Amino acid sequence: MMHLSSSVLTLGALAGIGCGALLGFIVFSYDGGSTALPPLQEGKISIMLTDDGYVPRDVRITRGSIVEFSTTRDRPHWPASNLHPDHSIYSEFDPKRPLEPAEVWSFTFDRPGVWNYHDHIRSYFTGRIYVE
Amino acid sequence: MLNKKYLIPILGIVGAGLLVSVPFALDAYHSYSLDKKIRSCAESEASSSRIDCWYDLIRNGLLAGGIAEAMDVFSRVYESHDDFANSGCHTHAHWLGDRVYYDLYRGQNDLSAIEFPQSSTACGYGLFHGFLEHLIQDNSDITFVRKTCEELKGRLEGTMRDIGTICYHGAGHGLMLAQGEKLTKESYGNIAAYTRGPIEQCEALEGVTEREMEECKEGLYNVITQWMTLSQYGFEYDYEKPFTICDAEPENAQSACYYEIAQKLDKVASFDPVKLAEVVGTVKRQDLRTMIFGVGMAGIIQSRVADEERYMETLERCGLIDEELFLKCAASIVHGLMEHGSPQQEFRRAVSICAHPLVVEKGADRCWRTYAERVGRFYAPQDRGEVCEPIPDEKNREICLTQ
Repeated sequence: MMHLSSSVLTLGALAGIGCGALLGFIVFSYDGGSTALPPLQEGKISIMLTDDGYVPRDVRITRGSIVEFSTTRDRPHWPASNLHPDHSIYSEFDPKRPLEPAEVWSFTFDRPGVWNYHDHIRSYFTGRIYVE
Repeated sequence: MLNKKYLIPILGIVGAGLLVSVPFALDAYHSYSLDKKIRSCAESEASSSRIDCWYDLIRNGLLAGGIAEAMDVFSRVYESHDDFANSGCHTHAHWLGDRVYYDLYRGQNDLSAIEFPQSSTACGYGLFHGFLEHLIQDNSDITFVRKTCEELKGRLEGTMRDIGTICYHGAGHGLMLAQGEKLTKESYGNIAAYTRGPIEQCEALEGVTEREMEECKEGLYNVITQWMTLSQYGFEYDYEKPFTICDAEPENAQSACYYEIAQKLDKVASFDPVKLAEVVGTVKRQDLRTMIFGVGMAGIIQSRVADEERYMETLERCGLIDEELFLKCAASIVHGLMEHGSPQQEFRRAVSICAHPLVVEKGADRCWRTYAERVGRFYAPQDRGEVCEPIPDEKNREICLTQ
């Protein structure tokens, strides 16, 4: 009787651990689905650098669309592709100089891909451009 | 049919089993999933795109679990992909510091709320450089600099020995970035316009040590040197006569200028210690030559830190220089490996240099001394047992354990 009960209890514990591991793996394997993309836009799109960062931060555009970068801040701005500081992932996406606060810089995105960008002067302001 | 009297204990044990195993499963899955994503980033053709992809994963870690989790991802990438380690570990840590500033500090403005784990010291405290650079860029007065650095010293100096000098160095970055924003294109390339004001700010820091003030000035020239190498703000790095620009700087800032310009001598010397020794031999300021050689060597090591064959090859090239400079050369490789090594694992590769037969043959004491003196920069006193254990002599081991 003692022998039977300890076997049953051991099996119960093992079953519990096994089920738990499986359940945990299944539950957390689900990553909540893919991140929602911004709506697709085409033509001329504006992105503005504000005191809180780029607005809109992320945009999704068709290939050949033009993005105009401007700022509401009274300081120079310098949008450019990552990586900071050499802007190497899309080196043409870089005005190569600081822009005056009133200056608008336009860039035509003709390379499909996902392009992270930042403000070179305050590199903590970042965003992402999806080109399709 | 199972006896009812067993049912409750069995269900209890099954439940307990569930409780025990779910966290392990979660942890295993998290690790598995992260490694899979890290490998997936490596499929990008361009190195910069791979790094950008890894940055996204590191930032996800930061947002989910603060700096500790971000540094865990950082370490995994570093350990598994040599191109991440060899492409400027300090720059990558700098980038993470930018993110810490934006994601954890900005909006809250509460430095005391940010937890800095020991791994934040990795890659020459690059995380602190990036964080402080922007904190001071946005608050560029010296009272704020002093308050911030003294607060960090009070909190962290017990386990991060060099946080004080690092803070004033990062502040120098910030002061220069703030100055850069004030100037117009008429001042581009005019080093005096950029440096004079910030040098005065560093000099006006009251109650700081001489070393801290020097670090503040080095921070200024660090930014200028980066602009030079990127051809920004009208500056260009002079690969023929790199130090000429420093000779025209005020006397109280020349050594800081030389130090930072020396960081980029790796290309001037074609990544070769023998050529570096020749270049350093032509430097006008003889009193700074030894320092310049050491800094230049650390720069060379940065791009080969993850490749044992290449940094050992560098050590062998050091053997072709005269004996005095060889010992400096070996010590500089140790310095470079500690400065750019894998977070909290820096010591492993550095130890292999001091234990190398070539170094042992010529006298390893200076190498071990350099190693021992660098340990306190990265490791908390309680974590130094394994790190100091390989040192063969008592005196250097004592330095390692206590300084």
